[in-house]
Amino acid sequence: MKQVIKVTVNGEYYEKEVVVHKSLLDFLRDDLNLTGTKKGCDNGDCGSCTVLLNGKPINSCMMLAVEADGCEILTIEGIAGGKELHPIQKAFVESGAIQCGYCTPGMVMAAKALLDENPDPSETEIREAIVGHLCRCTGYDQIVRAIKKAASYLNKK
Amino acid sequence: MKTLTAFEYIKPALIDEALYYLNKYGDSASILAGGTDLLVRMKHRQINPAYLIDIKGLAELSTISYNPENGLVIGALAKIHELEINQDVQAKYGALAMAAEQFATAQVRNMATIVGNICRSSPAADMAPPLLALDAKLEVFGLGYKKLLPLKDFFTGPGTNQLKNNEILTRVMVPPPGPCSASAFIKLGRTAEDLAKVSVAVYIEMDSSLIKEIRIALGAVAPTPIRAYDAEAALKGRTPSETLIKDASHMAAEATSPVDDLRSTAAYRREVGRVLVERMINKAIAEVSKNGRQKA
Repeated sequence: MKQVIKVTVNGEYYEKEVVVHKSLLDFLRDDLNLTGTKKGCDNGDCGSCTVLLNGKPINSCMMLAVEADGCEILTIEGIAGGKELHPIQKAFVESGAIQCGYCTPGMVMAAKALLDENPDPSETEIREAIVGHLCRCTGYDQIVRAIKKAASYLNKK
Repeated sequence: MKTLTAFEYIKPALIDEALYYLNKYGDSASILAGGTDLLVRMKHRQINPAYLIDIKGLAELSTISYNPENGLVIGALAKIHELEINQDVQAKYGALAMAAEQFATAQVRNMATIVGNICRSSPAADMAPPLLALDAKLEVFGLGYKKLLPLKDFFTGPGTNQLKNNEILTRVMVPPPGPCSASAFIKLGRTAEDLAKVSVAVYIEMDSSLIKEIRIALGAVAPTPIRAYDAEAALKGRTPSETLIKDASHMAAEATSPVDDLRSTAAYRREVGRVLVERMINKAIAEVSKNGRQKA
């Protein structure tokens, strides 16, 4: 069964026919070729598929594409301004918060959701915001530092 | 790869329309709301519904509202995050606010619904102990009827409950808390994402120095979330003392029938359940006297 959905992804409007049993994650990756959003566990445990749905972080693997009909979605591809990295991305690069990079898009989206709501989070608040994300490389400390640094960049603006 | 198998997707705009499809398709249909549990179980082939009835079009079920007369009404589409940030919930239903705050991850709280957590009826469901302690009722719609079920009788086993396959749990109704009352919740888990090893919620209402009403609920220590009725009876009408509370906590532990699994042993669950019941009773009592002092 197929259905037409209307979604705005990274500011661009799409009207697309989609198989109803396709996850939002697979729709973004396979139908829109937005492969920045990663498929890790596909189970809601690892957080690598995190995107912002109407401004809030969600696991795109646990949602059907048809359920996103009428929604606004922001993925990792949508946060940088042209060739300029978003301050969160810049802080991740500078803080050594990226090794293999697989968790990074999800982490960056979680950080964006946090900093949009809370521009000056405590370390505990940062750790709580990324509780749904697994990183097998960095040990998390660098990621926490990166989010703190990103907050200072954004607050300077 | 964990892909979903094909199904028909139906998104009704009215409760009656949803009921029509549920009656028509029976066991081959599942209701989709938050999806955080359903879609994962479908990927693992634990269930294979031929029809998904997405109830997110039933806008009247999306709100959480409170008034002093009727208490709190939680619609079937209300997300855990909405409960977490609701000011009435924070002010009047402490146990519920705490359970929402500690529920899984930020992403899941933005997707999962309170009603979905109850319908899934896991013995470890985080929403169950606070709602049991707060004496919640469930509003259920069937084709041509509406009924109220007390939550305390709802769960029938691990993953099973009284809801029929042609009914919709539409709202959770939580009565207004008593004048000198408080509630508390605690959960122990391996990690934030994992299911609870043990969870406890307590509601207490005082009449000067006497315990006027008390409800104690535990999660993950029996085939269903449970109330500790004997412990409640031992405390009701009495003046709380250290000995009395300790004895009642033992009785609560005796009401459990936990299992050994990868998260904990049965013995650990029972013993920690006892300790947590004791702590939550003391916490709720302290909260009542703190609120009393603030009002005085």
